[in-house]
Amino acid sequence: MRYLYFPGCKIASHLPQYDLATRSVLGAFDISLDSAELNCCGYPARDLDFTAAVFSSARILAVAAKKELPILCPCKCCFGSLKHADYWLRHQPGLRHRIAAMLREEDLSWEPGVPVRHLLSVLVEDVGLDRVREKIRKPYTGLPVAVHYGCHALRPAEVTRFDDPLAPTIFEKLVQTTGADPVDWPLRLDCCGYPLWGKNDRLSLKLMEKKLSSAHMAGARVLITACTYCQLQFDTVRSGQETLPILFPELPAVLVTQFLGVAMGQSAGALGLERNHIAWTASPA
Amino acid sequence: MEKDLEYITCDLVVIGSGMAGMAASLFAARRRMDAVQVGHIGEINFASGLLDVLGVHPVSTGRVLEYPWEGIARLIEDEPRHPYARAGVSQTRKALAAFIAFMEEAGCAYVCGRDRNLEAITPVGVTKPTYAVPHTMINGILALSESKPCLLVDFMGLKGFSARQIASCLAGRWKKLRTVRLSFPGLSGEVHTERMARALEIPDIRQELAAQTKPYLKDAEAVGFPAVLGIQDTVQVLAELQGALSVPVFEIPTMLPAVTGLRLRETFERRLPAMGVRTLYQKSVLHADRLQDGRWELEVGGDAPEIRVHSRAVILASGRFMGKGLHADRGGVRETIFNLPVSQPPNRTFWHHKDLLDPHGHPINRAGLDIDDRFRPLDGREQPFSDNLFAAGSILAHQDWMRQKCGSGLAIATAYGAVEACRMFLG
Amino acid sequence: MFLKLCAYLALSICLAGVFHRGLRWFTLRIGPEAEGAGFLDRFKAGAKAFGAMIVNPRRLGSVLWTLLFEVLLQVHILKQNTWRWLTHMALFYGILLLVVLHALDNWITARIFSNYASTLNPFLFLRNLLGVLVVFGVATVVIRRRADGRPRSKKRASDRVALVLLSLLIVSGVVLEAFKIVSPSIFETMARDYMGDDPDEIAALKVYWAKDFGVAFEPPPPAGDNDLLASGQKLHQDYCASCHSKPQAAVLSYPLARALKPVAVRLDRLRPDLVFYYLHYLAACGALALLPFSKLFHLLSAPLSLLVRSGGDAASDLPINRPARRVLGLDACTHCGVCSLHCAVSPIYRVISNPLILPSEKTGALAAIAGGDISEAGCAAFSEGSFICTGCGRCTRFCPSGIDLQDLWQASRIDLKRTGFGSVHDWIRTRSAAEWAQIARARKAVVKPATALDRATVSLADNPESFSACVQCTTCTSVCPVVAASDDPKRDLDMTPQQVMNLLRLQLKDMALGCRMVWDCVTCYKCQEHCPQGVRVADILYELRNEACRRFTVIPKKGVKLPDA
Repeated sequence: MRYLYFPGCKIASHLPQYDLATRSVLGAFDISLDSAELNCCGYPARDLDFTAAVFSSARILAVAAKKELPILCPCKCCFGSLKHADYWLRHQPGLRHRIAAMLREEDLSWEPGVPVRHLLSVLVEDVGLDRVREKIRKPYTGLPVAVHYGCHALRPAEVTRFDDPLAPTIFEKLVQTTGADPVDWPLRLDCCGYPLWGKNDRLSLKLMEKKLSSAHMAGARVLITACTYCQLQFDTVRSGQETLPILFPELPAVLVTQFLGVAMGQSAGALGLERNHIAWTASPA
Repeated sequence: MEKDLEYITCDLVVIGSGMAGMAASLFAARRRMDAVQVGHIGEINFASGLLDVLGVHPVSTGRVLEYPWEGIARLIEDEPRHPYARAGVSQTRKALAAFIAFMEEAGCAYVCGRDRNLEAITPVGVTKPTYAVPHTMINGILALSESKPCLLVDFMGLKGFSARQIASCLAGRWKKLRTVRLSFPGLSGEVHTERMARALEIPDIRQELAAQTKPYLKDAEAVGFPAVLGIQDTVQVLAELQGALSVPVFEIPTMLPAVTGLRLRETFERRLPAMGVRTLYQKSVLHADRLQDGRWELEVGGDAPEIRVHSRAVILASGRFMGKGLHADRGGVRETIFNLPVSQPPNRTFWHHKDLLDPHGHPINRAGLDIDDRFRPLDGREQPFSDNLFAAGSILAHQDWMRQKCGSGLAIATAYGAVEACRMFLG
Repeated sequence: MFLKLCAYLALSICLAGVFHRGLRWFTLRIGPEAEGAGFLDRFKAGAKAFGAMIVNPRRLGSVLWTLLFEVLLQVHILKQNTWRWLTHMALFYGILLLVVLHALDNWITARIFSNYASTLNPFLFLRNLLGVLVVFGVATVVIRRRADGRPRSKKRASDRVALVLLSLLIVSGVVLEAFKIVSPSIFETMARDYMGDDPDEIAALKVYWAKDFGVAFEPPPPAGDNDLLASGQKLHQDYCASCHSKPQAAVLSYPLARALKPVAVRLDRLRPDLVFYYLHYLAACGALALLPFSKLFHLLSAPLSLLVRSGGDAASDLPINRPARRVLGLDACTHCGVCSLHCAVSPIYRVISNPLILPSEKTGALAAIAGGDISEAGCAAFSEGSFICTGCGRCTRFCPSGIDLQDLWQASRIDLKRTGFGSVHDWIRTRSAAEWAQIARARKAVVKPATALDRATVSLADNPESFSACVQCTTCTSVCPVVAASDDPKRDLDMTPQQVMNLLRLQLKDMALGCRMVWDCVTCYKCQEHCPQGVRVADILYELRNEACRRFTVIPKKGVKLPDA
């Protein structure tokens, strides 16, 4: 299986372990990732200008169309942004016209139907739970974990078509293959707060705190994320506050491919675990 | 290139996620039918939690009924085309009993009057007849009927709920009714019911609320709160408050946004999948077609088809105008999915009487789908449109559930009837 | 004499300019560090750190490595793009060696090679070859800049002048040499000075030089007399050959000389060799004087920047030294535009057309800001560009001058926030929703009417159908995590989501623009997902933000000063 790998802006400079772990895990399933120098998906500029954000995403869709490859996003905000662009281009002829003219200048064009897949969908649907289960070497046997869905892949479901927005199960299904036990926690579908970081830091941290508290009360020992922004919030931002001690330090945040990779017997170094700010030592329950 | 349409086959598709849709899915699951439910979660959020069977008949006199089952019998005689006529009294009783048993199992116990209606208190202060109430409300009803000295609590910043208004409306018959306005622990400014209900699921908050209320108790023999006593943990919350205050505690439904509907919704959302119903929430049926072998092919999705469902039967419980089961414009009323003929006034000028509060209600409210005894919508020539298409709930014609106070009963009974008819069809 | 004066003047200006630029590294500040530190403290700390880097034996290794591979061989450019490397090497070595071996031939070349004469091979040939390299380099740059779709960057005036001077220098040098080759009067002077006055000897030499050295004589000397030619050749051997190689080696000038031959004698009266000599010399002086004030300065600052980078990045600096690294970095920018070529948000520039989105344009603006030399509008534009940057780091990875651009952007963002030019999310909070509503209403007349292109977008907030289905059920408010995080939504947010929808229904959109709910929205889309009536609440909130960004420009708090020079 081949995909056009779209890591987004933040991974290379701020979260390289996500790249390491994702490549390591996907490599075990014979998935090849084509790289290209791609622009920002436009999500951060969505507040400023709608067309700029759509054009940014449309360009990536067009590059993928030219290469005839589906897109794989490790980041949920990128995923959502590409899906929104696809949605609005399909529904707004005026917008489509304008974007097409700009793409033509680079000899690109947007066509509907470029598959945009998030990492979780690729693992659960394209690879399949059975194949994942086969590769598990060191199961977690009942370790209680809190899977964090975040927002931008789930909602709005009409646009993203990722999973049931009110009762999603894709993340739990994946994690269960490792033998871990995903807990039911009330705030699991809420936002991590990272989109507000740099805009309203106090509120961003408050949202993060509520999430962690909810996961903690539900008895989870690890928080598992599948998005660059979410992991940055629960690991980097959380541990980087000079005036605030680390909240719930016994509940580290770990990327899904790191969590999976350890269960698959891959080394901590290959998964970039030492780059996580809040250390997680993977040991069975 | 895009994901191919997912493909599902099943015995029954329930279209709708309101009371009728949820009840139909429940009954189908109980009968071990392979059911899929499609719908947007929306209107059920607005439910008060009260289950009305029949509160008023005839509507023109506004006569409040004390005995709902006898009332239904008379209603069937007076209005032979009313959906209750198709269901019949005994089936309606069975349906309600099954529904209430399910809610009890799910941790949301109901208290019903059995043969008599209960007199429930509403947030504006008037009372209404209803058949069954969530257990959290029963103590209020008892206190009212016995005119016990009572304290009503409301909260600062909670719009649409005034204990003083309720008390002043009921002052005529309920003498020893006192009120107090408290500040909800930890919140200020405008407060919302869901926030408060979730907060009360935390023991500390409960204790603080009890502590705040206690000084105002004095001789009260019951305490009433707006309906915020927890979301799923209502039993626990109620028990603890009663323990701390040493008197019975009760809830009164609130205006929207209300957690009473949320409780119903979350109960169904959690239970139905566990019972084997495949749920496709937040999606619509975009297209419906008949296959060669008689089965229905439905395309389900958001803005574009995502799933193709092949089903042996369909129960249409898509609601009225709010639920988008019916659509009204200058040309008339139409049914939005199958384009079934809708029984309606000849044209728009006949939709409404001149007087807004006309005691008879308005003809447009009784528009909807005509059905036969087997809950099958008719084709406009008194024949069933299709032998495997059924309908239930407020989309049905010849009923005025708001004025007759029969909404939940109608939804549940017709859902039950439709599922039974469907089962007979499926063999 | 005059020229010598010009040379010394240019040198003084150059040295003064270099000194001034160097001083700025320790007086200007970008970022929060070194606040209150004076020039002397900063200079001492900087010198100490730099010295420690050079002196430290372990560090010295990487310093030498950088000098060899990055400064001299520019391997980091080769790794990115072969053509870019070839071009830059041609320019770099062409100009450098011309300066060292030709301009400074009296001081350097003549001292190394005792037989040095500018008209002698290999010097003659090499000089022309170096000229070819420079021409090749400039031509390739111009062609590639047009062809590679680099986002168009505005040229700075000083850079234009530098390019003109450089071109003048090369062209005048070539023309000068061409005229010197053909000039009969120069021949006469040189023959008398180095051979003597004997007319027969001069005549014989003329014949030889007319034939083999391309000099134009009027009348042309007799041809066909082999004896005269032979004696001329012998005379050449005796008196000229030690300094003069055959001019064909002048691969640039000789072809021009031949083309000029027909008109050479007539022009000779005008002493074109003198004219072009002055032009050439003055152009060189001009370039020298201009060096510290144009991109030519990168000859000094870029290697320095690369060296500094070899010792570690900004994070490893002592805080007091970080501003120096940053200002040095800005000085090392050649405006080459490679960073913008790889910038992840350059597509946004194609829609919003603010050039200060592009990193190659930001450096200039940032230098102006640091120097206190920018308008409010410029600051606002820079701010908009700054907060669009996503910090992907590609510009830093590709910069040929080794500038830590990522650090510059992060530091300047802190400065922007402090001086009231932060992102829209910062300055929108400086006024209340009611104040913004007033401003919005007052500015309505100024807003340009919607063009067809503007309409080619999605418009929800102005379209009643978007929110006419809203029944104020407050489901959106109930599910909003931002509302749930507040103990007093009215105090913290002004309006809750369903109240914002209500404002739209009442056609009070202007009142909604400044509500904190709109700006504290975390874009989780729960409101839109749960709305029973299909109102696109989150999309509408986005649109309100878009509109506010379009209609309001940053209005910094009164009494705010821009950073000190």
